[in-house]
Amino acid sequence: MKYIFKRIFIFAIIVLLLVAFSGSYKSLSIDKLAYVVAIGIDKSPSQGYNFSFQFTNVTSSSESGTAEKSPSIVNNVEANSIGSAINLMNTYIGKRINLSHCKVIVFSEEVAIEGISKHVYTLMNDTQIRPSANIVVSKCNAKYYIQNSKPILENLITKYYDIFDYSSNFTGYSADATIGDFLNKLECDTCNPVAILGGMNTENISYPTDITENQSSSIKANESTIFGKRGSENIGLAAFRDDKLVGELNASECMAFLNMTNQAQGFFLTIPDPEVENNYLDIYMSPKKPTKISVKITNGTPFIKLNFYFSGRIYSIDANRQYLDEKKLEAISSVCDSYLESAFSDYLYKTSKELKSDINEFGKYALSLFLTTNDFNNYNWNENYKDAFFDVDVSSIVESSILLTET
Amino acid sequence: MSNSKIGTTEAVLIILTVIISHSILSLPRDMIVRTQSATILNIIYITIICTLLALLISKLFKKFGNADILDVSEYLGGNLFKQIVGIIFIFYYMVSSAILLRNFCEALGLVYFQMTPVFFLILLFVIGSCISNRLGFNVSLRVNLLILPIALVSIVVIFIANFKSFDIQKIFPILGGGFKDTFVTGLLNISAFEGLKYLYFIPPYLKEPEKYKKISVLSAILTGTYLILCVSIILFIFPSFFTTNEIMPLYSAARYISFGNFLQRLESIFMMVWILSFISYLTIALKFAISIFQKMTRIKNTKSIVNIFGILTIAISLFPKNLAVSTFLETKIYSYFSIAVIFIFGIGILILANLKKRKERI
Amino acid sequence: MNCGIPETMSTERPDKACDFLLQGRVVIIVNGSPYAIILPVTLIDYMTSPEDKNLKTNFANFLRLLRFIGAFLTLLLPGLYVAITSFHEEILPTELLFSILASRENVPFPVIFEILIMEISFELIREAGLRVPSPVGPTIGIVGALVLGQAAVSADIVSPILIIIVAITGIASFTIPDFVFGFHLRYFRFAFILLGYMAGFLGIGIGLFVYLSILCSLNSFGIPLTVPVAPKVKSKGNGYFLSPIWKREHRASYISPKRDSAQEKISMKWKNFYK
Repeated sequence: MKYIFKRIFIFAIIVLLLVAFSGSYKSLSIDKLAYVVAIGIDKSPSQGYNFSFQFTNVTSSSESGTAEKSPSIVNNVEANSIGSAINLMNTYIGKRINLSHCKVIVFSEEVAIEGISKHVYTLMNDTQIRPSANIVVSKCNAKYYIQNSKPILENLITKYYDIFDYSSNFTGYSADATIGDFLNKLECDTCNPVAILGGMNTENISYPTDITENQSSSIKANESTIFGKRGSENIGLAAFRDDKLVGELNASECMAFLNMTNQAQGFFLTIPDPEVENNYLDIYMSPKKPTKISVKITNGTPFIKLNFYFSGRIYSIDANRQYLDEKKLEAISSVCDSYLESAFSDYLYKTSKELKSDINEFGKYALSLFLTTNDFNNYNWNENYKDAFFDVDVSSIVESSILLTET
Repeated sequence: MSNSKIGTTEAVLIILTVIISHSILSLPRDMIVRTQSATILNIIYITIICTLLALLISKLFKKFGNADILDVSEYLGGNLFKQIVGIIFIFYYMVSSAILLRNFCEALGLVYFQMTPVFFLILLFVIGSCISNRLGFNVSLRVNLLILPIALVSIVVIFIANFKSFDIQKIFPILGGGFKDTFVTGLLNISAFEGLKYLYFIPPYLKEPEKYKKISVLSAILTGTYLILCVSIILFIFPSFFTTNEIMPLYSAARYISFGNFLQRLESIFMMVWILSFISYLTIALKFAISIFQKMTRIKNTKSIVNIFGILTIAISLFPKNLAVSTFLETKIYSYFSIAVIFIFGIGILILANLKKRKERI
Repeated sequence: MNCGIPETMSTERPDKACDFLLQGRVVIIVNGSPYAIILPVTLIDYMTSPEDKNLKTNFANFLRLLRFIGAFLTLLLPGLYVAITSFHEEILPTELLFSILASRENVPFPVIFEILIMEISFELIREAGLRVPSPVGPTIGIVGALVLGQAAVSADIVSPILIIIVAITGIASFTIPDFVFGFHLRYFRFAFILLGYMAGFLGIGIGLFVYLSILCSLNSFGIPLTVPVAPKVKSKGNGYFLSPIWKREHRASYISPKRDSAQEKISMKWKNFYK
């Protein structure tokens, strides 16, 4: 008898637990969820913001042999906050929106100028958002940016979103700015956040007449000379002070940023040829050692000394040239040094004088100069950064060309 | 009961369950809020202090042979004092495990089970630990031996996987909030070593009682090492001037792990390992509370009172009204309670008993 | 609380029985029965096969690792799949998730129902295969598994990913040498499927804890089933992984054999170590 009661009791507990947990497993089941792959936030003229949600049509994504690219669906809604936008969108599409595979969050320039901390905190408060999702500030409307994000070399748009930040490893023209890093830098007293700069490529193909300054290094998104099947592009970075957009970095400044923060793995450098006038050499530079940064405080202003070490390989080859001559390589190296020193110095003074924002995280090197947190807080690094002095020293060695050494 | 013995490794791992379960919750964050960037210095400092305290405890127990603190308190103040000490320790074991259980279930509910009342999550944990306790004395110790190394490895994996996003400069300014904050007020961080509470009750059960000193010192050092690992993960990834507080910092740190684009968001796997180690902690805390009760009341078979202790745990963990109250209890009240019971009350009884013994010899 | 976990091993092979006898165990032979019963046994013995000692040590250890993975997959893979698709989809890579979603688009049943249908069908095919007359025997495996599975996918009753999960689980269950132990793992995976469906990784974690508790509470004639891992005892060269032949000097101390050493300290006298 006791045995039967025990069995009934255990059965009752199991049924009770099944019923109690039924709410959770019904709401989170894979069939009832719609996965957003990108979110766009624009300023709306009427009320609040205009939110765009990009979904992928999963049916066509399952056919592996088809050459047709999987189309994406972009839905927009106007609302005051992300929560109410998601609520409205849930009503519209029927399924429940899930942000756990959201790869990109796009803010338009207007929203970024006003300040995006509210959106960033709200998104990071959600358990679903990935800290590795990229943050993009687009110069055009976020809606157009997302609508024109089409995969060209991949089947799924998510594949493109997964790898587009990877290009910063070998070009230096963009960076892997994630929402997790953005939040950490927002909280931090010693640095300020950055975001990827996005825009639309134009059909503007005007070539520069003045060839002393190479056009391709000073381009940004929305101003490039690329024309391709996909309308959206990401070149450059958006610099923030706290949570407000204060300026943009073009391609070469972005390359400088990556070198300051030790994220650069390699980049192309175009320098004037020391031997031939009106000729340019493409050198592929990669850091030999991590950048050495030291910060001193003299008379209350920061003095930052940076040492860079690069090794390079000559990429562009001309006819009738010798590329293994030591003296010629030394000459090319010194041109690289002076070019990089001037580019980095210009960039550094831009961040301190114009942007007044320490996006290079130099503040953390100043922490060791103080004994307690109070001392550091009293010094107020962010205020003093705009008076900072920089001493840049680049030492690069161009070792050779790649396969051809003499033509 | 009489032939249930604890080996050396099992004893060390019993003491480590506590720190692993507490570090998943708010312990590292509380330590960093108290001592800011000097937390690692502070942990080294309190590890040395706690190792000396653990040595002291083992030395004070030496004169009493295989007695635990209940026997010592009976020697000191008679049967009444023994019952009082027993009740205090039972209360401490039950309340500490119930508060942590409530916080952990609230956190789980927020992350995965928003539609489920927290009562059912607590019920699941308590059912699991009651089943394990009913099966026998040694069972939970053996399961702990299987589970805990995996939990330790999980923290090392989070450390290594997040290494590339570490900012070692966050260890500066070296003195954090100042000398007083780091070494005087920071002494409150000693509550992290609450695992030493088991040192008071394991002497009768040890297979090799002569290794008691080794167990106490080793567990203190391992706890300190583990704490340094946990705190480094959080200090080096997140900004140390904390204005944002999270419910489970290690969980947030685990969300940053990514290997390429195909292995991301692995925090659920770590969560499963931590759930296993947490229920192991709960089982052992319940087991020791039951064995104290058995010793006080001289009951022969404890199988039937396991259920009662389980129901008591559920009742205590449902006591706080909401997450705000239970977080307040965990961050503020819990540490003072631990220090008072383990380091002041426990060591006080041992010192007084040793003094009495010395007087009797004279 | 036994829950179907065996405490003795039965075998028809004389070499296996002799091997255990030489290790110091007891073998019971009954007149008229082809089976010999070996006791006491530990969990390690269920996962070892007599052929291991005849292979090179590295290969034998590789096979033991495979069997351990097989046991893990048999018990937990369907439960983990249900838990991940119900609660933890963020673990899956995005492309895999979309592939699962696309394959599940026309399937009318929820994941739990699908997986129970397929698991029960697989067990039916297995049981039916035992009683089919021998000319037709091998065919039933092919007909049942391939055609039925393929037809179920084409008819949109189940999704293709599920067929893969069930197939891997089935194949993994065949890697376990002891029939009774493998059976009990197949039996318990249904409990884990239910727990995974109910509460995701929390349910599986609690279920795993209770399962491990039951395992650790069992004794085989006085010897704990999970020795030498829990409780930790020093058993030189008698752990889960085989040591080389020249290192198998001692018998397992946890079964208290009459003679502790199986070989002399330096058994390969012809090697002249001390010259």
